[in-house]
Amino acid sequence: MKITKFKNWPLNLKLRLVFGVFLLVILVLIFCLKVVPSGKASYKKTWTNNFFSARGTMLDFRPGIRLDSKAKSYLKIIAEPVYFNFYTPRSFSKAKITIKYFDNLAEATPIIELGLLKGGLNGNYELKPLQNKIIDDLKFSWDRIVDDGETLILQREKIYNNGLEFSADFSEGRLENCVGGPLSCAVFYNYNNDYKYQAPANNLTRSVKINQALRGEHQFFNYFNQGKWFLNFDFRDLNLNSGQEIVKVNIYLDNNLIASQNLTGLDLATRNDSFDNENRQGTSIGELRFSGLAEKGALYKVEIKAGNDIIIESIESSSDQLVFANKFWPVYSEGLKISTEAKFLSVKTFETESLGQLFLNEEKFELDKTYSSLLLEAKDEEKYLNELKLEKSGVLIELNGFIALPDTKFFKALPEKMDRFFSASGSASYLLSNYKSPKKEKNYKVASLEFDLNSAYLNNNYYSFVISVPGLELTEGGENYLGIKEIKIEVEGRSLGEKIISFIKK
Amino acid sequence: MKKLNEKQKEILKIFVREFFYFLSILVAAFFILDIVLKGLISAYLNLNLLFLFWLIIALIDLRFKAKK
Repeated sequence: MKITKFKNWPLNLKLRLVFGVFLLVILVLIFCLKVVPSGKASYKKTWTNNFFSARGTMLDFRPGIRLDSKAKSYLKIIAEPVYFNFYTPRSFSKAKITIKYFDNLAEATPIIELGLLKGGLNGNYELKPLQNKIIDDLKFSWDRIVDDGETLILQREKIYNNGLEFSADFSEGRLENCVGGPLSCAVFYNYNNDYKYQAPANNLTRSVKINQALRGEHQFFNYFNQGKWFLNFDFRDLNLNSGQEIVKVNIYLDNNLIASQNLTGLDLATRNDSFDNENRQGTSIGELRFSGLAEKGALYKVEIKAGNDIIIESIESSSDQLVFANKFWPVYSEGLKISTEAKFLSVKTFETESLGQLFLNEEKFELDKTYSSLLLEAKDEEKYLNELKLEKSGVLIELNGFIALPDTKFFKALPEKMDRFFSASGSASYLLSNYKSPKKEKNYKVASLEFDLNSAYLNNNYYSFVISVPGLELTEGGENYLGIKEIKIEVEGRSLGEKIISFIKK
Repeated sequence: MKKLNEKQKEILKIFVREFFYFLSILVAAFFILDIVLKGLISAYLNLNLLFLFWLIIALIDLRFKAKK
């Protein structure tokens, strides 16, 4: 075969070779973008008015109604929460997210948070603080016991000289100048909770069956004395949504998962898309039973993960020391009375038949709109336990605290969590937090957060994030807003070399 | 503007033709890879603009062909 020299090749063949090499280079580049051989990558989104720019890796900022589309040079968030997706070509193990922002927020919205969706579609967003203006102020008005950039512990008055002194007392469930211990005067904010609940002496409990039906996901704390314990649940599927419903119950002891069971609902969607609060609908999908032996009295955390199509028909427990946390959604009942220590309660309903009156410590409130939150405030500062009476059922209650039913004994399972209603003049004397204030950079603030991506929900190469500013609601004019200028996500995972080595070792 | 002579015109025609072939393969590969790799290409490249560019080159090539 005769080989002709390159310079003698016809022009079209020469061009094909050049373009072919170029194509090959592009394909290698795409391979590198997909595999990320080094295991480290950095993605950035800036809001510029560039017609030629690509879709980017951070996209689908939604819902549009909570964003001001007129602002082109930054993302203007006028109501919360705002969700977005982050595209990654492969999975990674951790992410460092840096957000450059500015804000024009009112005093009533002092907290800005970023969350990552964990544990599947029915999972929760793990929220971390971008900025907490209450703590930023307290850092200068309270005394700092620990401030190492990761952990921040503040005290109202200078009592403890260092973190060791404080930790020694805190781990024993007592604090200086604090009669009720950490439960009465410590406040947590984004704190890796190492608090251990200590029940009062001679704590007597009896078994209880809660027949109050509850809708959707719930979380409760149950204290079991030494000995055998049990927890039984009955579930019903409303069949309002098509598709299989999965119910998952997780039980934790000292933040360790000790038991978990699943239940799959039948796919019997009736397409009757209205929920009747009076007549019990749907089909029973079964029960979950747990039992165990408590070596000593301990507090168990129970998570019931379920969609809004699931009704928890009943909960039976060997201990009536049981309190629901953060959310409570009773259905099929009228005139229900609940007790809570929370001073602020947010109530909402999605059904017109649930509209009506509510009484918080005899004070009357009128819930007259669906899909809109009504904030209830307990005015009596002296009262420890507030009583909420619900005239109608199907009212979703959200709170920063605990709820007890008439059949269960109220107790505070954990110290109070700081929220936007926190008042520095209240009973709190200590603050424990894993919080770092944002840095200032010209007209912007820059905050960095780290997330563990191993337990994050990766759906078709997309991680789901939420930007939350509790209390930021749509107002006419949109004068209160959060402006995001830039989001940078640095991800880290196994390198190609490490992957090959682990594959060979298998 | 200086007019191209016949030889230069011929070189330009060949270049446009070969570039059109290259771009056709590239655009097709990008669209397929974007589907297979679940949006990797469109994250970095505006595929609509690339498609528009391919269309312009195709029209120029077609015009050169018609002049033959």
